[in-house]
Amino acid sequence: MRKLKGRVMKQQNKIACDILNEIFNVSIGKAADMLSQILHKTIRLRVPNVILLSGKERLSRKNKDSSLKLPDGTLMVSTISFSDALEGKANLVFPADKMHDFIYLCTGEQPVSFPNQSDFTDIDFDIINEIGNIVLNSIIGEMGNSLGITLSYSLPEVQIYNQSIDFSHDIESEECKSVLMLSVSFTIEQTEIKGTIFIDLTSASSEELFHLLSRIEGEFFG
Amino acid sequence: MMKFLLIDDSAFSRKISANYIRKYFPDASIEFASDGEMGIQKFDQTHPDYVIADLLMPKVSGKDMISILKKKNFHNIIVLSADVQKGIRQEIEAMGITAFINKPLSDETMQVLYAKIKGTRYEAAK
Repeated sequence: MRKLKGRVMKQQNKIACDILNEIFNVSIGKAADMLSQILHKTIRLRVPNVILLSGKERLSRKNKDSSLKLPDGTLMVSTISFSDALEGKANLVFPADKMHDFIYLCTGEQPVSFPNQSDFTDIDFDIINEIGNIVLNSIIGEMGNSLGITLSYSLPEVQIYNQSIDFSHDIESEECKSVLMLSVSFTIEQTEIKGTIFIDLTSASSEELFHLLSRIEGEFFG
Repeated sequence: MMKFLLIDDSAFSRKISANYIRKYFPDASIEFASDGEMGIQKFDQTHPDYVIADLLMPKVSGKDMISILKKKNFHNIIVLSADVQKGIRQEIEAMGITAFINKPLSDETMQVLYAKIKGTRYEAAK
């Protein structure tokens, strides 16, 4: 009986991921279009790979599954919290050393030279904050539109984590939370920037998300 | 001369938006504010023809600022937001604003805005 329940859960999770994958494909495409308008450059994007994990699954799989590993080194993390119909936090995570190239693409101005690749000016932070805001709003907002819900946002913020382990510790501090992971890759001219989007959800919101997704599934598959 | 007041907490976003406003309204003057509270102060000081404002801002949010401006009987408000949610757009549009535009400003959206402000169809040759 437990095995059967587990199989049904797995199947539900697969369908949920399939629907989310489609929703995020659309929203990442829109985010790329927005970035393209800012940079006046064509942006190629790689289709995101969506993984939905409970807090416990994330902890147990993180050392075995390479797709769950964060890039090594310093990370730049842009975060926006959301509440109302769903409650959680969306994090856009990129390796900090790539962000200097990205900021240069945004401003067209040679970046200030720092001895350390993880040093940034206030202007750099402002740019990443605004880009993060636009990308995360597109992803979370389009998810809300597809699910027929409205969310409220906090002010976006950007933080530097000196080691990926610090960020992992930060997002894993509450075991009960579920997480949606999207691997994204933007290629702007010759520069490829690989990142990960973590959408942390409270347990109640995770259940609500499944409920909303099953409603969509019902509408499409009867 | 047309006067704009551009309110956004991101300096980067203010720069992008100001460049587009200057491109389409070369004779216009632009005042800047970095949050809703400063926006209201600048509004009282400069009496702009149009306010272009973000929604998600510190101190006083864009939505609260719109309510305050509406109470001052000012309606020429253009919202420029990263928020793509239909529910939010409907809620803000119901407050009686001129336009709700998603970030970033682009030639496409500026042409729509230009036509709204001028009350005419945009001429592609501009």
